[in-house]
Amino acid sequence: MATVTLRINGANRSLEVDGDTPLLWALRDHLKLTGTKFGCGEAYCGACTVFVDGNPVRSCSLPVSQVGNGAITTIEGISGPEAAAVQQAWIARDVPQCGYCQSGQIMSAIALLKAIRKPTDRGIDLAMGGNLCRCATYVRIRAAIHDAARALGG
Amino acid sequence: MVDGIYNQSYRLPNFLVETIDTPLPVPVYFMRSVGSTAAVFFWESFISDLANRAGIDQYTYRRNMLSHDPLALRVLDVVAAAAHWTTPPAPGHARGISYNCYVGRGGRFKTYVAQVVELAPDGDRLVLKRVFCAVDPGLVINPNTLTAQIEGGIGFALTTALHSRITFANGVVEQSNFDSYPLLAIDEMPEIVPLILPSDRPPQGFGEVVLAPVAPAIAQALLQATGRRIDVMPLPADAFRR
Repeated sequence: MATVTLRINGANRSLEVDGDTPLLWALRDHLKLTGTKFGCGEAYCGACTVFVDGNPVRSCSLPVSQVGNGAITTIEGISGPEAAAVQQAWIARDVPQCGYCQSGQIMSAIALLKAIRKPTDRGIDLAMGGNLCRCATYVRIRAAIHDAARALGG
Repeated sequence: MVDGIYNQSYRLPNFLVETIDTPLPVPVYFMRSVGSTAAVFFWESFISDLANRAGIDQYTYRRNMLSHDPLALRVLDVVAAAAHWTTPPAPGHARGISYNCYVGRGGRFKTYVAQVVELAPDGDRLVLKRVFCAVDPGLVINPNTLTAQIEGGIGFALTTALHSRITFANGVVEQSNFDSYPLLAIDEMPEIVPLILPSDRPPQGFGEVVLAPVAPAIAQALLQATGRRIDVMPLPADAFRR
């Protein structure tokens, strides 16, 4: 066990964990930030997606010892125009069904719109391909991302 | 096990379904659509074979055998019209049509479903571009939720139709995660055209009903496009070679 300090959603948080603890479990078990979900544990499904320095990463496969000074953003801490546009589009389209994967879907969608203002269907497929949805809400995910892009002026 | 067969809708003067319990070395249990995904894959593929044997168009053949059932005809006619079934597909493209009346909860509800799938060429493969889905689920309270079930149910069925292969070695399942047991991903999700028919019937069931017709419609389109008749699920990846 070691004391690890993480910068999460704009605040420093210290916790006692083994350095090889996946960031996901530091977030969920130690900090009670349970909006980030466990799906597969091997970075195949994207349910655990968070940002480190603005880049989407799979927190289930990232040991806390490797986060360093990276600024972590979880679904609880998203902000900015892309986040607002994605949230509004997700609500307007009623995207979620069971909802389990949706935190990760929304994180990846925000990251996509920060990188590409007006993604094509193909661009959406490439950016969102690592976020699986057993309910297959993909039709609405695609439509909501296009809506959010329009709202952002893309 | 025989959902969608013992209670199938086609007018067949001589029709008998018998089942035999086969002890399996692994436990099996319900999945979404209960028995209908497996049973209707066989049943609608068998109907497709009969139509081909008779040399009759797949839509017309089904129509002829459902002429006693106006609600069945209605979903079939609506889906065929929306998909322009009577206009031949573009060169290299192919379509398949399928039908199922989902009889659920021991006969307490009946939901009518007809689908047309469209395959399009993409390099050396055929890909699923669009699925038309006509449904008569009785009175619809919330069309938005119902549409979500059409979209998601077809996507769920595509995971089963294309990916869900379980194999055993030395007494254990070989698949352990999404790398070996993939789910449908967004780039495989076709466009969905929902066609919700008005009805005076009370609300019927809907959560599982759109799944079963997906795989046999794809298999029928593949046969038309490639000459290969597929009778196993998941449909082998090389079945989509052009």
